[in-house]
Order: sequence, then C-alpha cells, then structure tokens
Amino acid sequence: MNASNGINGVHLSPGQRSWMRFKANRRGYISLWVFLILFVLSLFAELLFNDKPLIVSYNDELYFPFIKMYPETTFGGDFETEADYSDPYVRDLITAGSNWAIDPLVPYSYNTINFTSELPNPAHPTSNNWLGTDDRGRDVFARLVYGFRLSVLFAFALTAIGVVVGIFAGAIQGYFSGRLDLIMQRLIEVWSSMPELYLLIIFASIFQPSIWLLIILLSLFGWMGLSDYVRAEFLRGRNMDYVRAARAMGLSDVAIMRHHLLPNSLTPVITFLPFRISGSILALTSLDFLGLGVPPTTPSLGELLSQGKENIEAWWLSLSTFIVLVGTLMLLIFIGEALREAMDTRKN
Amino acid sequence: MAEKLIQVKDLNVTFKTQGGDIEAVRGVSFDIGHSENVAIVGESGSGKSVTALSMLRLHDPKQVVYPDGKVIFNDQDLLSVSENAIRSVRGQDISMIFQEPMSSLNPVYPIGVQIQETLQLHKKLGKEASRKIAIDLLDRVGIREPHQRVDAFPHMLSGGQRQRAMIAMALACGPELLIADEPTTALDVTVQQQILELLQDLQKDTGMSVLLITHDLNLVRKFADRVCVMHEGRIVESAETDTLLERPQHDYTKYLLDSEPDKRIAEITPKHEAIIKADNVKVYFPIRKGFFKRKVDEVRAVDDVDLELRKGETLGIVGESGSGKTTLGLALLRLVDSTGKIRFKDQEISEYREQQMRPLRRSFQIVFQDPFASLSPRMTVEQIVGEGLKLHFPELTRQQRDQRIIETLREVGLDEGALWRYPHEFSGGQRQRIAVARTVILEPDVILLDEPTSALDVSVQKQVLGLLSDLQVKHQLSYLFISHDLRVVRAMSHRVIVMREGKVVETGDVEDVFDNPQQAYTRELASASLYH
Repeated sequence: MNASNGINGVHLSPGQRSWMRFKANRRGYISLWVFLILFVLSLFAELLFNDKPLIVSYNDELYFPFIKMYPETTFGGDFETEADYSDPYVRDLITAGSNWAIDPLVPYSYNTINFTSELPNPAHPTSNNWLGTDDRGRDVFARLVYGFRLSVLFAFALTAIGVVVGIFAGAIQGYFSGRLDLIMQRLIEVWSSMPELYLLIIFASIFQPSIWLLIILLSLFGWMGLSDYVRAEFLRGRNMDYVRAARAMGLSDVAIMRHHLLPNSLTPVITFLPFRISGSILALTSLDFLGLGVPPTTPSLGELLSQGKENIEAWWLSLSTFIVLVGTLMLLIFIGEALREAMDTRKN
Repeated sequence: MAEKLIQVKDLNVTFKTQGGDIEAVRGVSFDIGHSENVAIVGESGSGKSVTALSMLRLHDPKQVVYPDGKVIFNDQDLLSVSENAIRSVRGQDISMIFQEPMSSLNPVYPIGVQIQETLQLHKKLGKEASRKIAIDLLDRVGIREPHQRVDAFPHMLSGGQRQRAMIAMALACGPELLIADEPTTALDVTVQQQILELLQDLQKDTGMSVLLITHDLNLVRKFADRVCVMHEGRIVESAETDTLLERPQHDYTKYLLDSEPDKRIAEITPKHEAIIKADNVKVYFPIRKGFFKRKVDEVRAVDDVDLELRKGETLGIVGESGSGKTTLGLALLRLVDSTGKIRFKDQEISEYREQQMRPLRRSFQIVFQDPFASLSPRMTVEQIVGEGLKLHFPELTRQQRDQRIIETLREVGLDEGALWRYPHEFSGGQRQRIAVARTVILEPDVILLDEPTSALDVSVQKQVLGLLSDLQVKHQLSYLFISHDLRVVRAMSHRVIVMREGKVVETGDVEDVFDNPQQAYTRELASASLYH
C-alpha cells in the first residue's frame, strides 16, 4: 500500500492512515457497516416498531401519536385515557372519511400484547407476528429489536465506563508507582475478592432493579481487569527513553501520560475492547436470564432466552434470540479485530 | 591434509519472507588456511553474520535457502551433508562465540556445566574428567579462582568474564576453527583489548584458525592476517591486512577507512560565559534490605564531581559502563536527584523543584543512545518534533509551527516528506536526526548527548557527528558529550573528564588528557581505545 506510506507524494494524516488500515480488513469493514445499519435502525425503533401510528390526520389536523399522548376523546372516542390505536373502534374513527393515519412498518411495540390472535401464547410465526409471540402475546420481532438496542447501548456504556476508569487507575498506578501503586494494588485485591453475583442479588432485592443500577454495579467491578494491564504498560513505558526525553522537554506529568504513555499502552485496551463489549452484552443477557437483571417489562434478550427455556417447544423464541445474540457478538468481534489492526501504526 | 582448512565457494544465501525473497549473501568466496586469522568486516546488513552462520548451517531451514555454493571442510560440503554429520562438526571442529555473552549463556546452569556439556557430548567424557578439563579451560582463558568460578552462574560474572567463559566453551573440544561473531562489541574498551589478546594467545598456543566477524576495521589491524570487506552481501575487497589498510583498492573500503570522525570544532576562549557550573555533585542510590526497607548501604553513582561548561563548548565525559557518566549528565539536567550545587547561567537550580524547573527545561535537551527507544512509536515525526514547540512557544500559530518544524527537519538533513511518517519507517541514522531535530527546535543552551552515535554504523556515525558539530557552531550550543568511544570524544570535545566508579579521575583539554595522561587508568583507557 503505497498511499498509506505517503511514498507516491500523497501525505495522509495519521487518522486517514488508520482508516486505510481498517478498510484493508474487509471482514471488519463489512461488519462495521452491517452493525452500524442495524444499530442506527434500532435507534429509530419507535418509528418502525410501534403500536401507535406515526401521523394521524383527524378533521384536517395533524397528530403525532408516537411521540405524544392523546386521549381517545381527541378522536371522538369515549374514554379520557390514551387512545388504543389497535382497537377497531379507534381505528375506524381515525380512518373514517378524509381522516388518515400513517402506520409504522410493524404495528407492535415491545410491550404490545396481540389480543386479536387466535393462537395460544406463545404463538408461532404468522403473517401478523413475523417471529411469533412470547408467552404473554408480545411480538418477538419487536422485542428483539428493542432488546438488541438496549443490549448494545448498555454494553457501550458499561465498556466506556470500565475503560475510562480502568485506564485512569492503571495509569496513575503505573506512572507514579512506588507507595501509591502498592496501596492501590492492595485495595484492588480486596475489592476484587468481593462476590459480585451476591452483591447483585442483594441489591436486586433492596432496590427496584433497573438498567442504571446494573450499570453502576457492574462498573464498580468491571474496571479492574483492565487496570492491571494498563498499569503494567505504564510501568514499562515510564522508563523508556522517549518518556525521559519528554520530561527533559519540560512536559507536565499529565501531558506525558496522555501523549506519550497512553498511546503506547493502548494495545491491551484495544485488544480486549471487542471482548469487553461482547462480555457486557452477555453479562446483561445472563443476568436477565437469571431474573436478576432489568424489570420484566423491559425488552431484553436474556428474558427472551429464559422464556425460550421455559417453552422449549416454542423454537422461534430461543432460535431467533440465539441468532441475534451470536450475530451481534460476531460483528463486534470482527470490528474489534479490524480496529486492532487499524491502531497498529507499524502495520501497513 | 588439504591445503586450506575451509573453503567457501560462491555462497548464496536467500531469506524467504512474506514480502518476497531477500538475498542476504550473493556469491561470496573465501578460504581460511591452517592457523590463519581471517576477518570479515562490514556494516550492519552487509551479510557478514549470515555468512558465518551459514558455514555451520545454523539458520532456520524453513527460512533460508542456499541456491548454490559450497562450504568445503575436510573434503566434505557442509551445506549438503546430513544433519548428523554437521552436528559432529559443530562445537568439535568448528565452534563459535557470539556478540552478547549474557544471552548466549544459559542463565539457569553454572558455566562449568555448560562447558562440560560439549565435552560429554563430543568426547564422551565422564563427569569428573570433564569437570577437571572445564577448570583447566577457565584457568586458561584467564578467569581467576577457576575452582570456585566453575560453579558460578552467568549472572554472577561480569561481561568480560562471561565472554571468557564463552571462549572456554568454544575451545573445549579443541576446534580447528573458531568463528568469533563480534566478540567484543558489547564490552568496555579495556575489556575488549583483553579479550582480543586472549584470542590471539590461544590461537598461537593451539594452532587453530580464527574467523573474526566485526564492523570495526580498527580491531582487525592487529589481529587478522587477511581481511575481507563485505558490502550488501558481496565481498568487495579482500587482501592481506596491511595491504588493505595501507592501499585500499575499492571505494567502499576507502569510505570505511575514512569514516573516522574529523575534528572540526570552534575555538573556545575563557571569555565565553559559563552555562553550567557544578560543585560537589553527588548521586547516591540507597540499597535497602529487609521488611522495613532499612538502608544498609548506598551505591555512589556520582561521587563529588565539579565541572564547568561554557557557551559553545563540548565537554566530553568518558568512562566505562557503570562509571556514572550518564547519571552525572541526568543529575546536571536535574532529571535525577542529587546533592551539591548546580548553577545554570545565573540561577542556582540545584534546589529547584520540578515545577520551577519546567520553564527552564527548554534550555536543556537530551539525545539518547538508542534511536529506536527514544522516539515514541505511536507519534508521527511532526508530533514528535512539534511537541516541545507547542509547550514552550504557545504563541506560534499552526502555520508558523509547521514552518519551524520543516525548517528544522531540513537543518538536520531530512525533507518535509518525513512529517507524517512514524519512527519505524526510518533508518537508525535518520531516527537519530529526528531526535536531534526534536532538541534543536527548542533553541536550547545545553544538549546532553548520551552516546549519540554508538548504536550507529561507522559511516552513519560520521555523518551524525558532522551534523552535531555544524549545529553547535551555528547555534552556539554547549554539549555534554557522553561516550565510551575515545576517538569520537577526541573529535568532538574541547575538554574531557574521565570518570571511574562515580569519581572524576582526570580532567583537562582533550588533547592533553589523551596524549599525555597523568593517571594510570586514563593511560589504560587511552591505550585500549587507540590501540590500533
């Protein structure tokens, strides 16, 4: 690759060269696009999977039920409560005469129960519920999409917190070393011997389980594995000549850590990144599976899996969740692999 | 008996790599007679070590192909004999010593056991008999108290002793040919000389032949009967040593011989102001033991040193490894803690804390020995060179900064195409230029040059030294020039201090100290270094 060396007169900035290296890994590059498309689509899940119409034109006025709550009386109904758009009565009201409604792609949200189905729940895939319904009659496809979004966002948040805290702790230990390092290392040993799962169980019974509680609890423990590696890299790096040269130049400790040690200590961080993200998704899934995770109304992959276990004959539950889970993890790992190559400045 | 001990005929060596085949050695032919010393001289990458390793077929067969060529020893071609046959030659008829004695000795066995191993293998000797021979051998290579030393582990020996132990191992079976691959490069000058003398004595006693591989033409002068000069995989010239050194035929040989650094430094008069003045500088490292880390002893790395450095002057600091010369340099720049007084221009900086030092840091810069370790591998040249500018000249705009970076790169002999590249894309000499650019761009007063050229090939060395001299004259820089290489110090310095075990042994004008040394240690050092 001549262009990336800048040999043929084109001078690429470091960022552009990293991008070239990333693109050179076809599998990772394609995975990135597939993942991004899926993820962006899932971010707009409310527009695609919803039991409320996107736009309603009623008596020449425009309403946006998918973001705003309108009582049934708005559309000439009887109740003061929010309109149930799947009710045939309401449906008739908003589509009668010159009124019209634009519906989303799939008329089910993650918590919409399909009361019209004649099949017992969990119902196998039909033309209405493309991937069937779960044991409460909720659409599996919709739950998978919302669950995927929640899992990915959760994993990103957890990984980001873990990486930032881990790098910070490791950097401080490695750079200043000596007594500070000794004390922090002992604290980490004590902290890491706390039984994480028991704590989760205890907290799940004290507090209302929620996604935020999970992020906080898992973050408390998630940074330690990484900080050890970063600490080792900093310990090694602080005695290198280029760090001495930077000190001789008069750079402050923070600048040395940021510009000199950090980029050279990122190898373990980048290497573990895809595994941390997929590990976080798995953590959420397994906690949900055990019933220690998010509340039951929240769409989650783990809850679907546990339903699949309970209704083993309902193959559409476990199989579709399995495919989503494996697909996500694989995409993330392929992207991580390409990212690792992209960050390696020595590779061309 | 054949006329020649070993004949290498038209040897070609090709390495198979992912990026294609690399021809490391191309059509090399030479021979070594009985009891003859032959030297192969060349710079790094010339194929000299590859040639030596090929003679014993020590390369990984998966990576190396020998398209043609013969190595004839005792009427057999070592390149085509069976694996068993060559194994009986290795260590017994032809043995080898390497550059780095620490890594070529196995750290988990005593040296005696390692010497005995070859004896037991080739001579089928028992434990007791081989141990006796091992002790004899250690005695012969000049290791004192061989009865105790035979049970010593490699880390308990000094570098010179380790190399002696390696030689003892190599001699164990009375080889007919000893291949010495850069046997002295990793050692201090005085030790280098002792090792070479030892090799010469042993060669006379045993009547073996020695093939010396080295990058240093000057080592060869006294040692070898004949010299082959290698360049890019070919022998460009080969002749009797005296003939070759007196009347070199090939341009490359002339170039190598000419790569001795020239002396071109500006005159310094006492009216030049003193930049650094240091009194009673001491750096002691405590040795702590036990649970409570009590201080039991201390290492006196720098012990009571006084010195003065004037504007535009180079002060050479000379000494062997462990003499404290680098620590002294770092102490003067306040990068290690020290006691004593250090004055920079009219400021007393010895009591300054790091925060007070920071604005002054621009004035003190360092160029390190190893250009591979001193540049951060994840930063581009633009970032490396520009970093100090951002810090010390924050008023510059981006354009002005880029302008300065490009000007400085040109000044050190690099073009602006280097800006966006990473250090690993440059050769050793170019990297050292980048390291120099990083320091010069800050317009410093003092640059600490810590063995700036010892990791470089001789010809590159000369270019970098020339660059440093030019920069000194142009910018009126003061250099603290640390080196173990007396020739380089002599060419670069106005004055010199000689250090040993943390103390200054001798100090004065460089010519006086080297031509007329007052102290025994300086004499020893000078004769070892200028021994050619």
